[in-house]
Amino acid sequence: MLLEIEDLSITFDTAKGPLSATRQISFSLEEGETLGIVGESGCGKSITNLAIMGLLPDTATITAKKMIFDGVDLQTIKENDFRKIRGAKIGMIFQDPMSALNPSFTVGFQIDETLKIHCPEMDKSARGARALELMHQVGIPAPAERLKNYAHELSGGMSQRVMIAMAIACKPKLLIADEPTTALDVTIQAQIMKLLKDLQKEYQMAMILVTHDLGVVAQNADRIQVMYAGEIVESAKSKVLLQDPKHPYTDGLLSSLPGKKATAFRAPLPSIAGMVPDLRARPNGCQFNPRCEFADDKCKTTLPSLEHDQARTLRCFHPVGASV
Amino acid sequence: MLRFILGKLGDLVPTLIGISILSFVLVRFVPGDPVMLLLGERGADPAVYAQMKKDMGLDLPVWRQYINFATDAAQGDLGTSIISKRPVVKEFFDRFPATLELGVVALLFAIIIGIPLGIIAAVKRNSFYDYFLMGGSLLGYSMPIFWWGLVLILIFSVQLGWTPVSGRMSVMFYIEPWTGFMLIDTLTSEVRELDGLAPFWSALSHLILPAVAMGTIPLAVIARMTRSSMLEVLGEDYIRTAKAKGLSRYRTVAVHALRNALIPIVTIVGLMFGSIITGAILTETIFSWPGIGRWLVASINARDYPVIQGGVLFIATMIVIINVLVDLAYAVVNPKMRG
Repeated sequence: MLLEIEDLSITFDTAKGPLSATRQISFSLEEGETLGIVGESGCGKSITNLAIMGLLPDTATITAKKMIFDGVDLQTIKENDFRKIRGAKIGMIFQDPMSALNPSFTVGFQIDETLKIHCPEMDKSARGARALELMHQVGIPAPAERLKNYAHELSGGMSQRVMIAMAIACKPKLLIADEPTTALDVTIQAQIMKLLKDLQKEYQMAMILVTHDLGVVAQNADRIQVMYAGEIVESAKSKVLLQDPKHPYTDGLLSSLPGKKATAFRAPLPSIAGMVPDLRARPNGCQFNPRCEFADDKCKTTLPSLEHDQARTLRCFHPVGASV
Repeated sequence: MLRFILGKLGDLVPTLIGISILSFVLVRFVPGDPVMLLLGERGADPAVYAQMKKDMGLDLPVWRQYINFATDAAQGDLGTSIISKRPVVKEFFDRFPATLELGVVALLFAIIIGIPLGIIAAVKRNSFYDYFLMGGSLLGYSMPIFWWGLVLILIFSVQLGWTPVSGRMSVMFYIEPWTGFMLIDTLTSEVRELDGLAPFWSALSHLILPAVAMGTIPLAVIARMTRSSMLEVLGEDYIRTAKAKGLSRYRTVAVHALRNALIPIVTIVGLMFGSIITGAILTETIFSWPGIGRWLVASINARDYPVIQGGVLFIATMIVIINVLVDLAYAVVNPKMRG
């Protein structure tokens, strides 16, 4: 097991009182596996990843039963040792590649910097060669010239490729891709996803793919985990989850995907009414109950627990398709 | 790049014309008559008075006077001082190094202390230190230079006796001007053979108080600017990237954040140089610093028209040149500005 997270809860201290961003998140990841994390904005996907990276601000309090990466306990690790994991064993890429690159330094400098801290045994020329190799691997034409470019001289897709090159520079065991294609053109999205998949195979990395686009995870993830209001509501192998969603929220997400369940041509696309709850004023019971068509009195008072069976994990009293 | 510099220097021409007209006219609006001041209030023979006025060309209408002045100025002749009878250009360059030295040291003082203070305040945001520093900066910013200069003299020169009260150099030493910067000229081999390092320390001790007095406002502004610029940059995505790469906190702040935070700071420092000159007029008067500030004040008191006009023109030119240098520095710190 490469990554094991058990009962991870993150609370932020805010001026308006404590905000529980995630509650009791548990999941694990095998080496080389791809986990898709799906959910609307503000449901705790990115926060969970930042917690794994140890990059949450000081206002955040993390409690977890277990947070183990590659045999290392991330809760007790010292900051200095954590730094040796970040960027080396765990690489991370972000949503907006244009602003994720430092505008004041060349691309080459920024790649070189990663190699310099994590691979002290490499000398300058070895690092230069590796940077060139990386640029080539992520499919950047004329890599030698591009290394001398600044972020503002690159397109969005190109910047994301550079970010990927930087993230995989030290051959990490885990790549966290936080909405890697959201800010890109649709045609570029497919290219970047293919690149990530190819690199994953080549480097034998595990990957956490965060997105709110079910289409992206459907094609790329081995397993999908759906999050709502900072909780996991359903998790299963991609195929199982997509073909037979049990949680009303998952079902709603799938229905609102164009071309999946839309029945008639030009029929209005179904949507899930309402909004993600304010995390400072969570509803009682199931977090999804105010928006759920199946909700009854029990849902409004009691939070369903996560039930595991062979195929899936589910947090719901009234799964879709179950007899009432 | 060369075109850019030439273009900027080209802007200098209209600026100078405008400024020369303004200073020319304004100076003549001020009550007081240089000839009268020269001759003394009493006992001026009207014939002598008229003759002197004619000799100085002050009997002509103002617009004729300006044409004469501008024609000479275009040829590099700014006239002669009414008081010292020496060419204004020469007078200016005799004094300019003293002001430049003071200004540069004051600004360096402000930068070297202000930027780190601002960075620490940003990193330790909302801490006691942050509040203390920003409160102090507000105080520094609000302090009138003449008052602050006097307080410094009172404490360090009068009470503690650590530094001289005024002047640029102890009368014990004679330093042959070379660069005009005392701190440099006192380190030449001849001076050191003769007197060792004593002249250098003397120059430094004379310089410290006026530099601090003059650098306090820029220091406060730079510290504030650094803090807010740093705070903005620290929230940027690329800082998260830097952390995610495994960089140390120090490297993240000192390299990745600072480099970007410097862009607005460079602009501010450039603007500060203009106010440094204003500060020079007050500071030099208080500390009897033999620079252009004090020279201008003296010439205004004497209604020494050529000196006032020439001095103002020189200062304007300097500020434009400094702005060009700032624009160049801007291109160094901001890759987006490089063509």
